Amino acid sequence: MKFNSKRGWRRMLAIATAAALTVGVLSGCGSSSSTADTTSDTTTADSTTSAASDTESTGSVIEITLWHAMSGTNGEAVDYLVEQFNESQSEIHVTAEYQGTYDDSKTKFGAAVQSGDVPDILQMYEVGTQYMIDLDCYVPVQDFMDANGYDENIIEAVSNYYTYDGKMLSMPFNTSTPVLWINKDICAEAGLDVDNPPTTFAEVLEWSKVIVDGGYCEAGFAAAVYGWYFEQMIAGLGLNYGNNDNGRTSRMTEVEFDSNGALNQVLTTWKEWMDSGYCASYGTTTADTQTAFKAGQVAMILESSGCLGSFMEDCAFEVGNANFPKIEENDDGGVIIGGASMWMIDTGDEERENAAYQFLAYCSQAEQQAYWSTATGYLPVNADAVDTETFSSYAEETPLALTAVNQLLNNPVNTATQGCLTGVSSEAGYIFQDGLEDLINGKKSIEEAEADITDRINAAIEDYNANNG
Amino acid sequence: MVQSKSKFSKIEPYLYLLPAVILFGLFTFYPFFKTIVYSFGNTDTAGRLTGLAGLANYAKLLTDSVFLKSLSVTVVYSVLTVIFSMFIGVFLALMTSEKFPGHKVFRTVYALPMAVSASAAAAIFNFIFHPSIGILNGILGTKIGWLTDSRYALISVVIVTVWMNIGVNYIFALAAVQGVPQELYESATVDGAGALSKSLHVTLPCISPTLFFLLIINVIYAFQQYAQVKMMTSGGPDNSTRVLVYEIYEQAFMYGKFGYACAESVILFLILLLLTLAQFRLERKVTY
Repeated sequence: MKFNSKRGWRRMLAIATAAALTVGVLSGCGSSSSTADTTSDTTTADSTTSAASDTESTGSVIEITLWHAMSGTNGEAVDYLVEQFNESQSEIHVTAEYQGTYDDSKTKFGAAVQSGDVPDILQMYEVGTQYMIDLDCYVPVQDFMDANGYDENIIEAVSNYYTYDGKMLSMPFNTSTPVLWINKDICAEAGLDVDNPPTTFAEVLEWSKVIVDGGYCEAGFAAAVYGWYFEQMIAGLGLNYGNNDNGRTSRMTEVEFDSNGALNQVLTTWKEWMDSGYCASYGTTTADTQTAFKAGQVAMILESSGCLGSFMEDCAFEVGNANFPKIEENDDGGVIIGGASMWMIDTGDEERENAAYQFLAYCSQAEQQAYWSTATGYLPVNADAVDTETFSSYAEETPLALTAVNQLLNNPVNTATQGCLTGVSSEAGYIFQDGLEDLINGKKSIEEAEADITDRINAAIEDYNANNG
Repeated sequence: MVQSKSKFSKIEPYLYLLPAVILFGLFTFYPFFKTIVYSFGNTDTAGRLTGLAGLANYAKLLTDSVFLKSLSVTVVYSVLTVIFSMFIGVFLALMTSEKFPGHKVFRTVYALPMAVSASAAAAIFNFIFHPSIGILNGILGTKIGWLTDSRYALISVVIVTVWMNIGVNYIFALAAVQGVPQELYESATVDGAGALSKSLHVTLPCISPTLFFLLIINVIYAFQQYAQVKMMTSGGPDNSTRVLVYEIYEQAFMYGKFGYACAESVILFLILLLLTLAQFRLERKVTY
């Protein structure tokens, strides 16, 4: 076949372009993580180079990848731990990759599982535990701990959360508990004994009355309309959220907070706050409640212990904190931990899984946890971390840090404080917020809100269970 | 030989089309058809199909009070944002179409919101609307929860969206206004028309094709906007700002119900399809 060379050139170009685009598109589709790898390679150029030179000398450096959701200061602290670990030995090299918020990295991980391109370690928030169980692509860290004679002193109230059917599935990493934050200046001015802060919500309300009636502050107390506090208040009652021991012995199939009266008590308490006129509500965004507290517009709020750093920095008044108040004083009640854990992903490569375990074991040691805690404001997951030099000098400077640590160390260990395990945590939290807003706005009575919340969460659980696991 | 050459020239144009077809196919048509398929099924939280549901997802949609609420919110939100964004954008364009001292400053200022990303705008307005330290309550001397009170939240989000959309409307309208032939104005002046009647009877009819284009993209924009809702209210309080796309996002990525979310997306698609068809019928009547 002979044709005009100019036209032939054009044809070739058209065909080549089409082919190139096809190939480019297809490869772009299947390997989102290869791009991620390239980026991380460039960002961690230094460490990669040093790892590469190690490879030359020893011949076998095991490369593993960690996906995490820590940004800002917390992200820097992760990088520091990774760097320390990489320098502490020469067989394993960890690359840390920030994947966005917990929700983002959860979504990305779901996609990665389908494409088969998974990291070796994944940081997942506590409410994603059932999600991980159902994806069924992890190896229980407990198996490696048993095989390697792990003997670090992990706080039971923490490890408990990540334990399912008697086995710890993932390694606790960053943890926090909710506490009551107090504007000491306002409370002291109102003549309240700031050294003996309220322990029950009834006392919180009494304090609020004194504060508002005396004109010391616009509002005595506020809590964001946020599902997490709902779970905390149930745990404070020492009652279970759902059946099958809070989903801990087998999959939760329905809630129990309706039949055991917990939901009614929580809603009644919340309604009392709003009806009293001594409490404020700044909506579902926790940051808005924090801002109001920092601005001195509310004297007491519920918030995570993790706010310590920002409160110390931003508040022009003396900040205090106390254990998360309870609806009723009782021995079984406590708090549920928040935060995240590190999951070892089933890559089918024993060598890499062992390497991942080594890194997790390293991060859970007392010294590393003390560093992590002081750098980020999270609580140490290792009880021995509290006794380290690093942590004691930090606690001396910021005694407020000890409140949450002690609350955690003294937390009763039972299924109520273990927290519920369900795949619908975020949806249930949202349903609760929805019902609570209706109650606060007066659209629904306590009984109506109770029925609405129960039915909707049960339906969500049923739907989830039908499609997962 | 001659025959083979002509055969090739028959397929040749399609080869040039191929790159575009492949790209559209992979990134538009394939996801589109997959969405339709998924809308008839259920998935696990990772998005893998776990079984076919038939019309169950659609049946559930019709009785889901949250979805129905989100539909009505979307309609109110879209109507308000489209009307105000277009009205203000076109009004500003008419005001600044003529040259006067400093007209460039005004033009830049009016077009500027276009350069601000939705999330940045939302972050700024979060401060303005903040219930306790916001400047808006400070100026008005009120204590309104702009984003936390279900009576005001939708209005507040609409204000932000209108502010963001003004720029695009302004730019297009201004370009159109400046393209109106001067002779038309001259003859209108000869006929004794004032500034107002010139705008109404000369400018507006002349720019009606642009207005029509703006109407379509504004409606589609309004139905698909989501960043400011996610940033400012997360659909709350009490679902008062739960626009459809936010609802879809939450069902799919927060709750892992991809099948259900796909069914919602199909409904959104049908709504936009109907609206666009209706608008094209309208076009024949309104544009010259």
